[in-house]
Parts: sequence; C-alpha cells; structure tokens
Amino acid sequence: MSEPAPAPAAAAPAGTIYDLGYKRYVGARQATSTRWRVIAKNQIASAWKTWWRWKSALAFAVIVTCIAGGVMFLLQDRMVTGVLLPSGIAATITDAALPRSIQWYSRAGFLLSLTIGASVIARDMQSGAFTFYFARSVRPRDYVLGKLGGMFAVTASIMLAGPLALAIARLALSDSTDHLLRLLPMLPKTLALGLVATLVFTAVPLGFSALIRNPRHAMALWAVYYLVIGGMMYPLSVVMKNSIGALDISTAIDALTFELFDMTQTWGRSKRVDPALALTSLLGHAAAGIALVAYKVRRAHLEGIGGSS
Amino acid sequence: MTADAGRPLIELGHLTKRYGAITALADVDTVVDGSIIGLLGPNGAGKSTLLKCLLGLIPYEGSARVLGLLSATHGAEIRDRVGYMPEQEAFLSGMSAVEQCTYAGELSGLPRTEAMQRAHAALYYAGLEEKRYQPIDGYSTGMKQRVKLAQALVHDPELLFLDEPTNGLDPRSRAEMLELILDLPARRGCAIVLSTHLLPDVERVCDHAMIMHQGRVGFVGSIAELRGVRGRDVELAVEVKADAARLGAALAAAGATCEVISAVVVHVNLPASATSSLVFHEAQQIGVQIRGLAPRRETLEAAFLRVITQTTGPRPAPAPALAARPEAP
Amino acid sequence: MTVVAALGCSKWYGHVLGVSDVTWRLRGGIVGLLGPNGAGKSTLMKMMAGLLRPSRGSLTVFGGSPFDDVAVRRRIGYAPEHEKTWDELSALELVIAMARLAGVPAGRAREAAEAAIAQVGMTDAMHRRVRGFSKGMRQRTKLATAIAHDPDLLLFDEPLTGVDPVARIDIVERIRALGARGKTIVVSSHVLYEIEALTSEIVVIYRGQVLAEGNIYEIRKLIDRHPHRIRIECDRPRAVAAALATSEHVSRLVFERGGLLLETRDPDRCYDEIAAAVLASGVTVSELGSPDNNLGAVFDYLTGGGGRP
Repeated sequence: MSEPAPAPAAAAPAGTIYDLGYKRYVGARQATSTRWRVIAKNQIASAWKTWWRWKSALAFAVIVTCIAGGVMFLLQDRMVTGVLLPSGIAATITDAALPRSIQWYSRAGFLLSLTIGASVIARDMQSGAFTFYFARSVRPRDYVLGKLGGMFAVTASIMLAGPLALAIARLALSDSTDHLLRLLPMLPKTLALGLVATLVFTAVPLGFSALIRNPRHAMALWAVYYLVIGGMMYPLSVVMKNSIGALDISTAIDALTFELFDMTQTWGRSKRVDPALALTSLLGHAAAGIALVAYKVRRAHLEGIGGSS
Repeated sequence: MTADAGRPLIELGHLTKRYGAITALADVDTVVDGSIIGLLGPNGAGKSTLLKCLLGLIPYEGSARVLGLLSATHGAEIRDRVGYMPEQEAFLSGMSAVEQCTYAGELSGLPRTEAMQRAHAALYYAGLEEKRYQPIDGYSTGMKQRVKLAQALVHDPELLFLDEPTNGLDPRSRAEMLELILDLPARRGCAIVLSTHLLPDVERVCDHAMIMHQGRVGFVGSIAELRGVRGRDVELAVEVKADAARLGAALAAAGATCEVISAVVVHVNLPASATSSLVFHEAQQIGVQIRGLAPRRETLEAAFLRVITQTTGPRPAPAPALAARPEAP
Repeated sequence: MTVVAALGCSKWYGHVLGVSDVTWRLRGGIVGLLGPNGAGKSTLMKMMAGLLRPSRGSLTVFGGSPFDDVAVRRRIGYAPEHEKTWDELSALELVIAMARLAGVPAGRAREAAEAAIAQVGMTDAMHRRVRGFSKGMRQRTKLATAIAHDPDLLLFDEPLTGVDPVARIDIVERIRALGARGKTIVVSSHVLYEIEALTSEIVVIYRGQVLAEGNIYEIRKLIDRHPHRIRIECDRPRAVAAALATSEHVSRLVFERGGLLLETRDPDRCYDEIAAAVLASGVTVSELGSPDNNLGAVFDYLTGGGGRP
C-alpha cells in the first residue's frame, strides 16, 4: 500500500494516481509510564479553555500582584498598623505587603478550585470518561498522577507564581546589596509557602470531586467545607482556647505565612493558631485529598467496560 | 484474519473467574478466530467479564491470550493494540471529536502529530466530516456512535471489540454503521469481535460466532457451521402464487416428500439425485407460479436458542419464531 | 371505534419542530410506529400519553383529551424509552406505587400489581430490588407498570432495547398476548425486525408528518416508484440472464455474488418468465425470492434511502 513506483527515468510519467489507502503505524509506542504526562497536559489545556475558569482566577491574581507591587513601590517606608516585626516595631508596608497578599492569593486559588478542581473527577465519572481512559493502557495511578500534576501546574500559576513575583519585586526594592543579601532567604521561603498552598488547593478539591459523582454537588460540598466549616473553626478556637482553627485552610495558610516571614499580626485569625499545627493541618489535608482520589479512582475505574451485560 | 502468522486471535486456556460465590466464567477453554466474530449470549452470560479478562483489567485463573500476548502480564500492551467501542457513553465533556480522538491516540502511545493525523483519518472513515470540530456534547446519537468507532480505530488496532455498535440508531444509520463494520477488515486490516443482542446484525456482518451462556462457551465456529449448512440442500421451502396443495401432490407423485403448510407454502424434501429444477418442472406442468424457493435452514435465532438450551438445562419453549410472513403480493 | 384521532395536530418546542399537521386515526390492534430519529415519534407518543398538549389542532384518545382529562389518562398505559426508577424499591413495590399513581384504589393495588407482574413473567423476581436487575428485567418491570391499571391503550417506546435474544422472544409473545386480549398497542422501535415480529400494521413518521400508514405489504404495493426486485441464486447466473435479457418485463439485471438481481414493474409476468428461463437454460436454482417484502425495504423506500445493494 505505498505510492506506485515512478516510471523509469527514460520515459516521463503520463499521469499518476496516488494510493491514499491506509498505512499501518509501524513506529514506536510511548511507554505506559509516560501516560500521566499526556493526561496532565490535557488537563491544563482544558482548564485554559473558557474565560471564566482559569483565566478569571488568573486575572484576579494578576490584579492582586499589581496592586501589592504598586503599594510596595509607592508607599515605601510607611508603617503599617497591625503587623509587627519580632522586635515589636511596626513593619513597613513594603515588608508587609507580601504576607498580607497571601490571603488574596488564597481567594484566587479558592475561586480556581471551585470552578475547575472540585468538579474534574466527578465530571469524568459522570460522562463515562473512565471507560475512555481505562480501556486503554492507562492505569489508575497514571490517571491520578496526571490529574494531580495538571491541576498542580494550573494552581501554581496563581499560588506560586504570584507570591514569587512579589518576592522578586521586594528584592528589587531593596536599598543596597547587603540589604538584598539579607532579604534573599525570602525567595526559598516564598517558594516553600507557595508549594504547600498549591498542594492544598490542588489535592483537597480534587478529593471532593472524586468523592461525589455529580460535579455540581462536589463543587457545593467543597465550598461548604472551605467557607462554612472552615469559617466555624476560628470562633471555635477562640471559645476552646486552642488551635483547632488550624483546620480552616485559609487560617492555616495565613498562620504559616506570618510565621515564615517572622512577623505577627496584632489582630486577625493567624494570631490564635500555632504555626506548626497549621502546617500539619495543611499537609494532612493534602494527604487526605490525594488518598481519597487514589482510592475512589481505583474503585471505579472498571465501570462501563464490558457494557451492561 | 490473524495478527501474527498462524496465530489465532484469542486463546483461552481453562479461564475461570469467580467473584466470591458467583462464578462468572467457568473453565472456558477454546480458541477464537475469524474476521468478524459475533459474541452472543443472554444477560449474565459472562461476556463483560470475558472482555475484562481479555484486556487484562482483572485477575483470573487459567490463561487468556490476545494476539499471542498473555493478558495477565501484557495487559497494557494488549490495550495498545486492541480497540474498544463501549456500549455506554464514553466521552470527555467539552472537547470536540478531533480533540478527543487525538487524545485517545496519544493515550495509546502514539506521538502527538501521528495521533492528530490518524484522528482525522479515523473520523473521515467513520463519516464525521463537517461536525468534527464541534463539541461532542451537541452530537446526535448517530454521530456519537461514529465518534466512538473512530476513537477505537485511531491507534491502528489489530483487533476491535464493538459493544452494541448500532444501539439507538435509526434504520438508515444502522445500515450505514454495519457497512462500515463490514469494510473494516479489508480497509484497516483488523479483526472484529462484535458483541450484540441483535441477531440480524450478526447475520449481516459476521462470519464467525461465539455463544456464551452462564459462564460457559456453547459454541465457537463459523456461522455456516452453526446453522448446519450442508453441501446440497434437499430440504426446501417453496412459495407459490396459489394452489400449493396441487404442487405438493404433483411433487409427491414425482418422488418427493411434501408437506403443505398453507395455501401458498409447501415444504419439499427432494428425492436423491433430484435438484430444485424438479420443482420448476412440475410447477410448469400444472401451471403453478413459483414465487420463492429457499433451503429450509435453521434461522440464526433458532440455532442460537438451540445452543443456549444445550449449554444448560432445557428452557421454556419459545413462541414459534417470528410471525409467519403474510402472503406476498 | 376510534382509539386515537389526530386532526391537524402540530407541536412545536419554540423553534424546534415536533410534529406538523398530523391527521391520523388509530382504530385498534397492534401498530408499529416508525421513523428516523428526530422525526416526531416520541412527540406523538407523549401527546397520546397526555404528557404534551398539541400547539395546534387536536389529538383525542377515546374521544377525550389525554392532557386535560384524568379519566382518559387512566385508560392509557405508557412505557417510555428512558426511565430512572427508584432503584431501592423491589419490583413489586415499584409496580404498586405506579399503579396507585395511575388511579388504582389502594385496596386493589397489590392484586393488580401482582397480576401485571405475572403477565410479564417477573413473578419469581418480584421481591428483588430493581437496582440489581438486568436490562431485560427492567424492561419487563417497565411494561408491568404500564399495564397494572389495566389500560385500554398501551404505548411502548423502544420496549426491547438491550434485551437479549432469549428474553426478546418471550416479551414479544407477551405483547402479542396483550393485543389478543383486545388492547390497542402502539410500539415504537428502530429495530425493524422487532416490529415485524409483532405486527404488520405500521405508521411511518417522517419530518414531523405521517408519511404512510397501514399494512406493510399493501404499502409496498403502492410504492411503484421503486420496481419490484427479485433475486435468483444459482450455479450459472449468466445463462439465466441471457434467457431473461430479452424479456420486456425485466427493467434491470445486476450480477451479484453467487447470483442475479433483477428489477421488474410487473412481478406477476416476470415470475412466469423466470420459471421458463430456469428450465430453458437448465440451471440449478438454490434460492429464489424477493428481498423487498420486509419492513426494512419498505422503510428504506419511504424515507428515501436510495438504492440498497
């Protein structure tokens, strides 16, 4: 089934019809272990599709970055009330802008998780995509890794890139080389914080989307958990005089942030929550989310294969 | 059509699958080969379990080989070389047919550009030209079935499993889908296992059949074998315009055994060394017009029921198969 | 007695056409309702079942409007194509519930339900939950819910989808038994051989209108646009063809695998000439017949399927 051999060089061909027939694929096939990358790329591409999912959350994050950056630049050396350095002096706006902005990035991250993360796996389960995936050489672990990896990249564009941008801006605004070197540890700290936050905002919503089949119900449940149940944790902290507030994701992130940057807030939720517990809570949430996804996908992955009979 | 020289498509060696107390597959030991093979059986016969074993998706006892590969150890490789068209919906929401088929190709190990080219080729083959860039969510049933077929073809499989491919299609689309299926072995060089409840579909496209019942295989072989097609047909059903009784009498006088079924139908058993020409001869002598003549073979439905009954105990007798055709004009 | 009378009946969903200007009478018996997808079969069925009101014109069942008149609706049993039932109920509980909804008094409901279940052959399984049922059992249960209140008009939309061949024969017999008891039954299906097994009376809906109605074979006779086809399978088709080529009644001769397909506008004369040709040329005929006298061919011709091979 290949093109007819050209006529001998002596005579010019009078006319040729090409055989458009089917050609078998004789090339190599990618190893099964690379499937997760295909899935991750697909997840990223599909997240980018409409304007109101990734793009709107990203726009929100960009606005936050610009405002925080602008504030850092324009209002240098002004003191901010409510944020104290370890020595007890009030911090400057420039120093406080990054930690204070984390809350806003969390909001953008939550928006993203609500519109995409919390419905990803539920939507797949409902539309029969599991049959699509698992009748091929995709194993449950490839699917889980691909979804987590893809959503991690998407979420990182907000919860990691944003704070890093601000950290770099802060360094750029330093007064001297010495100052710059002293501030340099900000970068790895921001990186670590961003990674933890991204992990939480990836794994937990995905966990909810694996928990419930209906995408809308999954989104609703995630919203209830994050906003309502999370919102109840801080008052409980006050009442019970302990750190149960660490169970609220946004509070935990805040507490961790201020601890990392050696500042304290004179008011606000992060005051009441022990940072170590906050970190434990965040990592615990992430682990639970991943475990839930792995468990649910493994249980449901053979659905639909073989039909109803 | 076999994949590797001389190797059958599917080899099952004492294949058994138990779910606790329930035996889904009971010591199935057989070889399946052919070009288009119909997989038939009542609900609960074990077809779904068999498919999962063949794709290497569940553990089992015994051995199952597809295209020469053992499914317990080479499941992923088998799934790269086998295409599956599921009965239910199996789509990702929000993607177009082209995107989905490309994705399917990539998930089967093809590099991206190769997958894209083949996705388009598969969609052309399945007859989806204009709508292939639109999201699948808006497709009609017929179009969705075509996309499912294209998805199963994109990675150049050597064997295809089609599960109720004509589900929900109106008669015209059904005929078109069956035409596509008939063409596949020649155009794409793949063999097909067609799992369906619709016996006319099997009659139209299949050359071999595998009948399962209660976890056992009742029959594996060609359709001709199943229906007991013999070399020379001596048992005929003859349809006439009128006066079947007179024809019956005339043929009986000529040595045939006849049974008059109705005013226009007579069953004839030819004597040795006679051919159907005897019927025409006698009919012309007495002025009876022959309108139809056919060997009295078992219908596929009757053969199927026979196999099912033999595979377990007797079942309640079915109604006389299909309404007797009213007289033709 | 007219069971269903449609007069200039049209139904529009916004811009989408359901049926357009349908005038039709159904007097009784078992009737097959056929048509391509989207032609209006479901719309017509739903109007007969009293679920939709015609946008224009009228559709009466037993002389009354099924949409408005509860008494009329009580005489109609409808088994739709798709159904989400309450899976936690047992078959018996489900049929009792539906019978009560259809107006069977509480005291009699159980008895009526059990009778209906016996009629569809589900007595052994009637106490099991619907959740665990195979497709065939679900279809039978659906039929039982439609007949429990002993209606006079039965509407079955795709009653045999997904049913295995063994169960199909049984259910077909049971539907025929219902028809023999005097019920009027309308069965809609895409699988033409199922309709053929049930009845020879059909109604064809095409592009929202009634295209044809009546006996399949009478309709065939009326389609004289398409000549009658006769197929001859024999050992030497060309010899027979030579003898037939001179006949003025044969309009077309096509050589096929193993035989000969001819078209004629005068089948009666043609059959005589075929017999003469067979004897004259001395061929042995293995099969002779017309591929036209079946529902598939009739449907094809009516809906413009073009020449089938």
